Amino acid sequence: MLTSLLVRGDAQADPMPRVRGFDDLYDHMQVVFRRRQVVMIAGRPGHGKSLVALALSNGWAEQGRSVLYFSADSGPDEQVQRLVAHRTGMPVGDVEDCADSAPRYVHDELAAVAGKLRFHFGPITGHGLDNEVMAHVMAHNAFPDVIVIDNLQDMEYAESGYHEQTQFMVHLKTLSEVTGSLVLVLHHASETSALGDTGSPPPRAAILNKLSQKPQVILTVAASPAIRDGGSSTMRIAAVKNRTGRQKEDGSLFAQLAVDFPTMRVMASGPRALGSGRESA
Amino acid sequence: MSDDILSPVPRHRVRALTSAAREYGRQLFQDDAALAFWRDRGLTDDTIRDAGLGYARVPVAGHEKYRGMLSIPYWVHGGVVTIRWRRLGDGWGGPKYLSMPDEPARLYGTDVLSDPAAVEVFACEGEGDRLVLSQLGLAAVAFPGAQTLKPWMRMALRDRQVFIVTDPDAAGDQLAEQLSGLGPRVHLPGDVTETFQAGGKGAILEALAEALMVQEAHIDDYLTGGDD
Repeated sequence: MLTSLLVRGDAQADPMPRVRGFDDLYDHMQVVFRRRQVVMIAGRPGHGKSLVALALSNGWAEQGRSVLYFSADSGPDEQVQRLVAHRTGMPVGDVEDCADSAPRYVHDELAAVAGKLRFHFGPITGHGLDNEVMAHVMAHNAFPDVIVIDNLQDMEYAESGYHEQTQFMVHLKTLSEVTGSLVLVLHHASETSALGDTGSPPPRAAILNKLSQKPQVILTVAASPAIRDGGSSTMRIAAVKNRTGRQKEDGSLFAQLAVDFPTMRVMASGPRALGSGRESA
Repeated sequence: MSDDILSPVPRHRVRALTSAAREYGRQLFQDDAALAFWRDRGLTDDTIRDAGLGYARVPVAGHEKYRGMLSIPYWVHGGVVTIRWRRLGDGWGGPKYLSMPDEPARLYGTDVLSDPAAVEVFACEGEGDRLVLSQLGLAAVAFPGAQTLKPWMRMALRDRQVFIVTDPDAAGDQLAEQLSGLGPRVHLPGDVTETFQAGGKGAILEALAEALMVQEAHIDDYLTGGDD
């Protein structure tokens, strides 16, 4: 059954539409998000992996693409607040208040993307993942355009070790081939000396070898402590694996995005003079 | 992925099924006996038309084996992904319902799954029961039965408040048991259609009121911590 679907191979590796605010990643790093691909976004905890995944998911959903978002890391309340903050530009804390005083407002914001962006909360197994995909097929007669795994360690069994995570990556790779979906998997960069300083995106070496084999594209992110404490500044996204575009395994070649953590937003970027210290390819 | 998979129906097949379903819809309204089958079950002509119910008096090519049967199209986003067939009348031998060959079991009425406003969803058995409930303004989906239940059917409803209104018989009990994690069961005097035929909207809503009380009890358990 599975093989017959693979042989059919009718889904093309279509590029996903561009999402506002990510211009530097698209233009400078030549990163293209495609269907039928596994893309990993890695970084230290709290450095904005989920912000990037949420911004991309919302941007794609707004442009009519269907997104299945597996949020094992964050519960419904937190994720809803983040999404509404992202969509309205209201800080996450204010959304929490607003949910009590103006629930209709929050509801309307969610309803705007509800048909396209569906969350699954809590740990999930490979079987659970498949069943959620089948539920999507039953409701839409199509595979989802994008499947987001947030994140690899929090998937059931995957937290128990490297072997399980590797197996899960194999499962995700098969899933992307069978469904033609873009699979976006978030991953904590390992806490080793390979990470370098916290302001720099981790190098590819910070992702254990077998985990880095399956994804076609690996991006690593870093945000400075000032940003994470709740301000607007820039986030660095390095392409440490990007066969069809620019890449540098050590993480020294990166795009810079204007981000705002309180509202979970990636701002429309200005001219490309944002950053300094960036090496040319 | 597991071997047990549901893949999208190709576009050309959706186009062919949609075209056939529309033709059968026209034929239904040209045949009083066929139309009476659904009217007698309490469905209005608007409900019948909206659901695209039909009658294959003259079947399209490839559907010859369904000649004289009622067609129940399964719509997904404006296209038909499969048609189920109901024998007209109950007196003749053979199965009452037919699915198309190699057709995986599905939920009927999946438009509810794309409607974020459908917070409370009734899980019933059979397409007719689903249409009665939706005619009453209730969001509902029909399960194909306990034998063909798939995990993704439950998964599709996991973020809704589900009320189970399966038939009051052994098969209905079995399905209700399998769906019990989704929400409480609402016991009706008969199946949804029988209850509606006997007591109208009032009989259904009366049972619903009881279900809401059950639900309050669940919430109380939850708030007081329960034993588990």
